[in-house]
Amino acid sequence: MLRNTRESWGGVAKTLHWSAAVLIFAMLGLGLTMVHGGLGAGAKFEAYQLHKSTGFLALAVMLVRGLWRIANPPPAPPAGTKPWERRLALALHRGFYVLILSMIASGWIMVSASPLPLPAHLPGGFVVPNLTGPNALLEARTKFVHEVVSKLLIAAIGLHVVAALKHHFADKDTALLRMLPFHHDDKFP
Amino acid sequence: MRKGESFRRALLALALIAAAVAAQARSSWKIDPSQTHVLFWVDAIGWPRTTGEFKSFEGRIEIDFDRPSRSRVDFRVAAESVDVNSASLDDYLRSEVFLNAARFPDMGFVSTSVEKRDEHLARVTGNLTMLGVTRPIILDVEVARNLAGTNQRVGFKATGVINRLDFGMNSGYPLISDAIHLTVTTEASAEP
Repeated sequence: MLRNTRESWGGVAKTLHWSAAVLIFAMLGLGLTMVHGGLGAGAKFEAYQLHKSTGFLALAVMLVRGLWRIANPPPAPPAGTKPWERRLALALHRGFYVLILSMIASGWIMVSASPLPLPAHLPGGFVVPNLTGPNALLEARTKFVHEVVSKLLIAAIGLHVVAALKHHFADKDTALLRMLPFHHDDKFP
Repeated sequence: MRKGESFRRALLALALIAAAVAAQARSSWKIDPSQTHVLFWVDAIGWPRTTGEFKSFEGRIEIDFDRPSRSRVDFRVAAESVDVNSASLDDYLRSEVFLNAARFPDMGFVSTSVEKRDEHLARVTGNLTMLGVTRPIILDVEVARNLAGTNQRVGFKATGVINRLDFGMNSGYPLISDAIHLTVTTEASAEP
């Protein structure tokens, strides 16, 4: 069951969801640690390089995810979901794409605009091209955007987790279960 | 005519003796690599102090304890050997952004004057060559001598500040400071 059904998420969507979740948690943790963690110069430099490379991996996952979602409609909300909940869920899910892609875009522009030339390196020796030349003002502005959007993203993740737990424990529906890796809902073949 | 020639010979002999005495007074000292550290640190805004070391170097020290101004030092460091305790930051420092080690493999210091300040302190002026640019720098050198017995050793601690802009190393300025703080500690033993 790779494709989504009307009732549940397929294997591809689940894999992409949890890959993105792991990458985003890693990126937020790494980002906060490398900026505020009091690392030494060498460790801090390595953390920044890893953060940049991983950001482009996150971009690849998000692009595939977005295309898969367009090609493969998501399951319907569990029965009993109120109209306002549907609207909020849709807004939040779209919001995730906007926030995550904004994080990646602001990060990429920041790296490109840095007066100190240091492009991101990817496995296989590929060097990510810069989007713009050195521009200290642009770097400072995109750094600010990157920081503000990271806080919004953390808030959105919090809301997403609370909503999933509410579905599971309060509404007692399958919204959480049907995204879990090895869950197969036998009631809805 | 004969008289003048013997006078000239006597003068030449005297000059040779003087040179020999002078040469003897200035002794060569061999640097002990295990006791030598070429350390530096650079500050930057929004970034912790970057502290590092050059692991590969060679040098010659000649000391005249009676006339310190006749002492000389000549020191070379391999740019490639930079070590800031991070392989990827080392690579970045070796790149053309900073040390450009592929094009300028060596950095060197050759003293031009040594001035004794007190029993344990000297001021050494010399030419530093980095990125193919040669500029004078000043080093304060603390000297500790152990001349007793057969194992004669002299310890040095040279400190100075290099303005990297003088050598055309402009990357990251002004967020990364122009001042490279340099400390070279070494111990040398008398060459037989």
